[in-house]
Amino acid sequence: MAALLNLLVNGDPVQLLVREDETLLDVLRDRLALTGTKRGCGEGQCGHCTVLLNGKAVNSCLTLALEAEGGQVLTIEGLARGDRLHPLQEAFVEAGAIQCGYCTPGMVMAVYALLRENPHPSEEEIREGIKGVMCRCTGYYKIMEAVRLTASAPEAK
Amino acid sequence: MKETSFIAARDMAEAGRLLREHPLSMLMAGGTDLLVLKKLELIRPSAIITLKSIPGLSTIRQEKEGGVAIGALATLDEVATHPLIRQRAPLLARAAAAVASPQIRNKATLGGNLCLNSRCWFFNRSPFWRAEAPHCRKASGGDQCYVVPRSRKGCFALQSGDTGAPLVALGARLRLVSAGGERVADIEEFYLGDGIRYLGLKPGEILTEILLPPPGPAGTFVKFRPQDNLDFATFTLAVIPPEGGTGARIVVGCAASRPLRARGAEKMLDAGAPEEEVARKTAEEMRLVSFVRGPVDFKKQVIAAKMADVLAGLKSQPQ
Repeated sequence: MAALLNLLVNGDPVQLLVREDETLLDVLRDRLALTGTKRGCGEGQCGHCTVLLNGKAVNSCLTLALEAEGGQVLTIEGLARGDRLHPLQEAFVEAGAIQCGYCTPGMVMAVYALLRENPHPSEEEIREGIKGVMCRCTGYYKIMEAVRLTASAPEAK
Repeated sequence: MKETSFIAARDMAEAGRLLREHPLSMLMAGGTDLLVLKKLELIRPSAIITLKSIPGLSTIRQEKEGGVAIGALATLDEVATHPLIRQRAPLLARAAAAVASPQIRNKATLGGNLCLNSRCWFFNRSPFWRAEAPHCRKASGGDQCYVVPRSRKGCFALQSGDTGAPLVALGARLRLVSAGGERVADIEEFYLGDGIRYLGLKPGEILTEILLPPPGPAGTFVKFRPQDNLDFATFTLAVIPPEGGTGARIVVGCAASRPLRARGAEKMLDAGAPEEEVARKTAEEMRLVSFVRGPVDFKKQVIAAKMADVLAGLKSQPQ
């Protein structure tokens, strides 16, 4: 069984026929070729598939595509403006918060969601905000630093 | 294998009808646990009926006489941050905030957390892993239990939703709706205490609302896990101090197939017994058998220690 799905992905309207058991992650990666969003554990533990759905961070691997019907999806591809990286992405580069890079899209989206609701998070709030994304390289320190850099920048949002 | 169909129910009547038409179907709220169980082939429903499409099931509203009614489909994030719940039932708000990650809390629901499938070291595994323990009663309908090998029947999988214990402590009631009408059940009756048949839901019944009584003393919630990560609790502790020498509640969650009340310790707390004795009694009273998420002796030691902390904290709390 398939059904028609309407989404606004990174601001662009998208309409496609999806199977009812397809996840939002399947649709983003395999149908829309937005492979910035990574597939990790597929069980909601690693958080590498984090995207924003209607402004809230969710694990796209645990979201059925049809649950998102009519919704707005923001993926890592939607952050930069042309060649200009988003300040948060700049901060990750600046702080050296990227090593292998596999968790980075999910991490950036989780932090983006955090700062959207709480532009000046405390240390504890940052830890809670990135709790849902696993990074096996950086030990999180550089990531925390990137978040602090962004949160203290005047143009932060 | 037959494919599972997903059906979005438009209203409660349709959800009830779909449940009857598909006897092997399951209900899905947030899906953060159900979709994983399906992936691990631990459940094989003929259809998954999704409830998020039903309007009005996630409303959080104030009731007459100061109670709060929480729609079963309210997300854990909504429960954790809602001013009414933070003010009237801080215990519950803290428990909701302790579940997994922000990403999960944005999808997972309070109703789903209460109905969360019981969990076990030998159950929540891949089919490949389970091939080494093929006779588990819960996973494959076998005749063995790897947790309590000498048991002849029953299942010791753990009730695992963090919001269970605080809701038992608060004395919450649950609105259960079916085609035949609706009933309101005490949450203590909702957990049956067996890992396989763990919920007191009759066929066709759907949990629609969690009803909190008017607020009493604030109380405390503790979630203990070896690391402050996404993990399920080794145990949770929900404690409400007595008011005028009565009404103390001490509930340990996630350590057995149902949240456990420490009734003897509650009486001692009501009577104003010394903290260390209440803490010791709490641990002593717990009938724990499962070594899942930590040996029983270890759990009892930590329950006593955390309980002592909680009681000391309650004493210094302004009343």
